[in-house]
Amino acid sequence: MSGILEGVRVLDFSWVIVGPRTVRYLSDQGATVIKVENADHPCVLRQSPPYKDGKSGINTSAYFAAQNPNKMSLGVDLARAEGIEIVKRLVGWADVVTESFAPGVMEKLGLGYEDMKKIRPDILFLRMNMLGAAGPRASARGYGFQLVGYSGFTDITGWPDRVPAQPFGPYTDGIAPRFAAAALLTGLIHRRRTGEGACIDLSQHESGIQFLIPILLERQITGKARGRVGNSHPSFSPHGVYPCQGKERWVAIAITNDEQWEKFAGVVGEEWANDEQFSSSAGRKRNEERINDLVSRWTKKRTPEEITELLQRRGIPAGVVQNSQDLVRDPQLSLREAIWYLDHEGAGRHAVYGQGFILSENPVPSKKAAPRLGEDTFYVCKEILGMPDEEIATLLGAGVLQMVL
Amino acid sequence: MGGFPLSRVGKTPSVVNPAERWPGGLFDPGKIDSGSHEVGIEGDESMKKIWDGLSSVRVLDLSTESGFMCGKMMADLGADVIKVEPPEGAQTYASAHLYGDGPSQDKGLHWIAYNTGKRCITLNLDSEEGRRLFLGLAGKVQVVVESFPPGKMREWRLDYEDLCKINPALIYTSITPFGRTGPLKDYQVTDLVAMAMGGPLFLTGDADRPPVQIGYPQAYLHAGAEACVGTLLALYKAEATGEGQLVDVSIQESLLTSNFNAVYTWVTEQILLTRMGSSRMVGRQLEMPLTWPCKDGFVDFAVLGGASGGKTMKNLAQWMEEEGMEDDTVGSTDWGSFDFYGLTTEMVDRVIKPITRFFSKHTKEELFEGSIKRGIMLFPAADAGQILTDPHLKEKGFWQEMEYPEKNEKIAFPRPPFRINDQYPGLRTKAPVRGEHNGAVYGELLCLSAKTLENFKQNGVL
Repeated sequence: MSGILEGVRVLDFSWVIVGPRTVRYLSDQGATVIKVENADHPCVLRQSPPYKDGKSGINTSAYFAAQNPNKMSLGVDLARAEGIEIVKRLVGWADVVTESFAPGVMEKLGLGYEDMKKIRPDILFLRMNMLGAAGPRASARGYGFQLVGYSGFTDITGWPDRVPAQPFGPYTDGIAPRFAAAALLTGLIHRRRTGEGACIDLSQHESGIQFLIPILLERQITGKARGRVGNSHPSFSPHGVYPCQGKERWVAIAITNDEQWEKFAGVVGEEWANDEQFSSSAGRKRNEERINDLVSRWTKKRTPEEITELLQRRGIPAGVVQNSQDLVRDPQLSLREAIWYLDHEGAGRHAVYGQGFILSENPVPSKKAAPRLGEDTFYVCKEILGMPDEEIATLLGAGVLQMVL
Repeated sequence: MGGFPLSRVGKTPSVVNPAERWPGGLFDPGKIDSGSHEVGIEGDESMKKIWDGLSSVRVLDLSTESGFMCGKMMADLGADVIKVEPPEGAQTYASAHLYGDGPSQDKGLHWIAYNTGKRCITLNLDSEEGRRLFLGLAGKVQVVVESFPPGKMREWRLDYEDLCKINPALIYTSITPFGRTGPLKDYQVTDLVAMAMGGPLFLTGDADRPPVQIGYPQAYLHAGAEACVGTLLALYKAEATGEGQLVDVSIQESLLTSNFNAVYTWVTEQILLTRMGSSRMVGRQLEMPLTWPCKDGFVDFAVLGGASGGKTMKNLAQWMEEEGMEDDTVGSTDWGSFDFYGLTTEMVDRVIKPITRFFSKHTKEELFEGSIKRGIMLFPAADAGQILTDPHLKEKGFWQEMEYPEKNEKIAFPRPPFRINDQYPGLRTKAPVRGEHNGAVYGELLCLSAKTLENFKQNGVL
């Protein structure tokens, strides 16, 4: 079986999460992707845990390996003119170029969109800078886990009486790749129709904002600021995360209407659950704190799996608050092969998140572990660029080309 | 240097005539009458100038709130997205995150936010006649998006296997909590429950309190955005081959990437990551703040090593020194080459205190401005008001003002988060009112007259 993007060629300068995750939508569907890497400035993820056996090393990070399956790696020093020369030849080969450095970095290297257009007029160039390429603050530096605040997530998350709770990890890095990939795929469709390339200038910051549009509208319509509300919901009650039997075991329960409450009360079978005050959603909302307390007392005596099963059987939304171990064991995720396991030379056997969708006619055709740094340097130079072996050897010796295996 | 000789390895894309790509006359760009499509001039015009985008793609969007984002993104990219709603409206949209009083779909913030650029028709799929009309429409579009519970569309005989018979090139995108098959397929979720089952919830919140949700529901947005990417992949193929397919999106699965290194850490090192409130983990299981209090709120900042972390710390130390707040631990440590595995609790303490003191002397805005100038990685924890007045977004032209009738004034909507050839695609229109485009859409696609439509309306079909 072949991938949908078989034959599409991507020269990928991007690093960390947003770029590599975006490019994975393409590489998993058969696009030929060459990651341009530099051993002197390796991707931050290559230096991020988890590592095989806990030992850091340029090729041992499972975090890096998980972002980059189905790609090749070219090790090349872009600080050297010969390195730039090689990369420019690859621009002529490529349909798509992707990058996620700070704005200006590619231009300084002579690899900006305008430069590339001269080599390949129909190039589709996707840049994924933090705040986009333009605007007065475009030079702001950082990572996704700091950017979440600027996109608005930090301020509204957590408890009203506390410092905000940060969404886990570089939260916006989970959002931006969808917008980047959607724009890129549309660009490819456009290019196939018209023969025209384009420069797509994605902002990671603005991608994050797309997931909070309602609070921006609300602010303008009502003038009110949204505070932090813990786990409460504007109208549902009970709506929360409740402690269960066991250490750090939790269940999420959301009763969205009176019918569900009635069924819930039936499952609980304790006197308080039939309290008249709780029979209407308004009543339950009014007595939210008390209800949360009573529900907690009931959940504490049970496991989250048991509660989920009891409630779901009656159509009540409830679910185990799954930790990473739960996710690995989850029967539904397993059935759909939502988490892949690959064997990587440096990182060992490691997990990879698949996509959130299954394409009925084009399931991911092959799953090849991520490259070690420069693993494909020889192949790219010889097979794609047609360079003679001696030249490759010379450039490797001079450190212009690199392989760290 | 010369460019790479294209004749050797370069691939010149074949230019395809769109009319040839959709077999069976399904696609006829000439029939898309943009005149009857009430378009906000700005959005549509700028899209045309930029690129063709998805302008020849038409989408029937039957999704409930868990799928709005998919169609919105496609509309932002130029597709003609037709929202299909039951005549009586869907109660769920009106249950939460409203503005004003009283339940009303048109006041649901989620509806207003994530249906921009779409047209909207009503259709009663519970009626035989309604389903017949739907089959007619499904023959004239490239994409159907739905997020009904698994089995619902089959009950109506409108499932993928029904529709692909009349439209083999159709992309059918299904968004369900756990996917269309499997042991949990019939589990009920809300956003909170999906975030629980997908993993991000466990990882968010203060350590001494229960895991906590993100302040605006997120799971459905992840799923909708993921669905859009899957749909476009399928569309890329269908345009060339005429072969459609089913895109089976799981909300739970769409949340996996938001677990970042957590599952990887479990599988590789058997360490279970957990929530740390406003902190992050550094070195050997030590906590360091990520959210720091300042004079008027909070900023997001991390003590980091490596090239960029080292630069940040050096520049911060210098800034502190300039203001007479120099600190030995912050200033004289070489953070660039610092081994965080050697970090001790005592040292964490010695670093946090002076930085906190410095931050609390400044506002978010001062800290952010100063950080940009000095190459420090720091961002403000902005609230909605600050995002709306942010000078960067304003100057970039990120906002598009649109009339909001009940408000009697224009309000600002964010444009899509990308610019194509230095220009933002605009939002075509504000979110439609239910059934707003019945006349136009049914007229255009099925040649139904106003009289016929009125009849259908009387009989509860529309």
